[in-house]
Amino acid sequence: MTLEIQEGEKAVISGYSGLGKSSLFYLLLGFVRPAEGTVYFSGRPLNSHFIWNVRRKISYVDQDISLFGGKIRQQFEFLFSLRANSHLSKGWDYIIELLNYFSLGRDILDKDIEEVSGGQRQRIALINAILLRRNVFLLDEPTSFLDEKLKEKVADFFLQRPYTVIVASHDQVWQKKAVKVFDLEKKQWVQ
Amino acid sequence: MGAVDISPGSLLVVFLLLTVPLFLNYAYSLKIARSLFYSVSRMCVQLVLIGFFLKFLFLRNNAFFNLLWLVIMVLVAVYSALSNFSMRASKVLLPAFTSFFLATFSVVLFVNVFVIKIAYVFDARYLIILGGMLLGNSLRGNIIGISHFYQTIRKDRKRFLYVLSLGASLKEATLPYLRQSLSLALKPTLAAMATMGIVALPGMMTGVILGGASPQVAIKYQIMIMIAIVTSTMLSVFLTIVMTRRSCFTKYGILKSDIFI
Repeated sequence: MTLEIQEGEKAVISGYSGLGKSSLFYLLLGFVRPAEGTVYFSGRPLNSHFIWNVRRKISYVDQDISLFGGKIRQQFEFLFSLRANSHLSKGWDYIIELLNYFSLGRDILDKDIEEVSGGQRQRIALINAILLRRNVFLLDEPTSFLDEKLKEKVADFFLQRPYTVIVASHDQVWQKKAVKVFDLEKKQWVQ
Repeated sequence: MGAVDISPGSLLVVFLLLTVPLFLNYAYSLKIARSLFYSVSRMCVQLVLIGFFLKFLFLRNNAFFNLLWLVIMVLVAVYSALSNFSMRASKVLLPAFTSFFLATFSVVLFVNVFVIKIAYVFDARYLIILGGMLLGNSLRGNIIGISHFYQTIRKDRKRFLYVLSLGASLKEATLPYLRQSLSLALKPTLAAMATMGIVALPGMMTGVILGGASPQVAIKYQIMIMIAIVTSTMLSVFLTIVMTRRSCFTKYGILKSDIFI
């Protein structure tokens, strides 16, 4: 199977659970290695040196919404504490703007991650990804905990910007709005 | 004034105490007689052999043999530590050994040169005895610290991968686990320190007092050894994690699964 996604494209990966949608993202992030074949990013094959650069160009939201313990504010601070992200300005105004866009009040900043709901966690993870100011987004079931209105909002945010977006999702909203859909079962583009 | 020697006949008398656990074993069908017998016999054989061997080491007092014995002690300690947290010893033996040895040897050397100020720093009585105490006492902390580090990263796999995806280097991604492991490793020693002298009269102090020294001397030795234990535990956990990290993670920053049994 060959799957190629161009810069700036918005692609939805569809397929039933367990088919390997998440593994596809893991391949691109170097978390698993292909038994055969090659993974390319920007035309270069991934290897153990290049992968560290690739990870700094991709924003990833995993389906389990892996965040760390502590306050929401600390989640954002952690991002900027990493050396790879030290060039980013903390921009609390932008964070507040994003919180508003995703219908989260600013008082959530001082809440503990354990206190907030699944839907709120999911939006925090999405804001994390946006704050990294990268151009490629890998979103693994990014709207599974959200209501229809929020699903629309999230999809609009990512699909209306010049980002490269690859989404694995069962939510119809993505399939309706995205230009391309790749069926992992049929191993071909179906839209 | 040395310790009163125990004659072989008198030593046999102490075995009479074993009738108590044996009686309880019989009365409550504990089924521990066999393992009790095995452990007691093994301990006796080991200690008798070590007794002869230490006598030889003390008589020769040769730097090479003394260091060699320290190396063997470290090897056994590392091996037992690794087997305790179900890691494949062959994968990490060398870096773990190097870390344990460096941590123990450097602390003993410091103590011998700057604290006790003995003329011959490789003196078996100090090098081997202090080295053995450091290894024995830091072993539990080491096992807790190192196993916590690798087992937590294994359990926390998704979160760990997520941090890598944020752009973290391997050093940055493992830092929170390193912090937790170091503070956990130190807990048993810190807890022992808190009750020292009141609840427990530690082995070193007992030995020094039975050896004929005054309690004041014994206390000084005990303070010295406890500080040495804290330092060598921290140092060996830190060095082991830093040095095994290279062989336990792939070049992609992923924890290798074949390091676990």
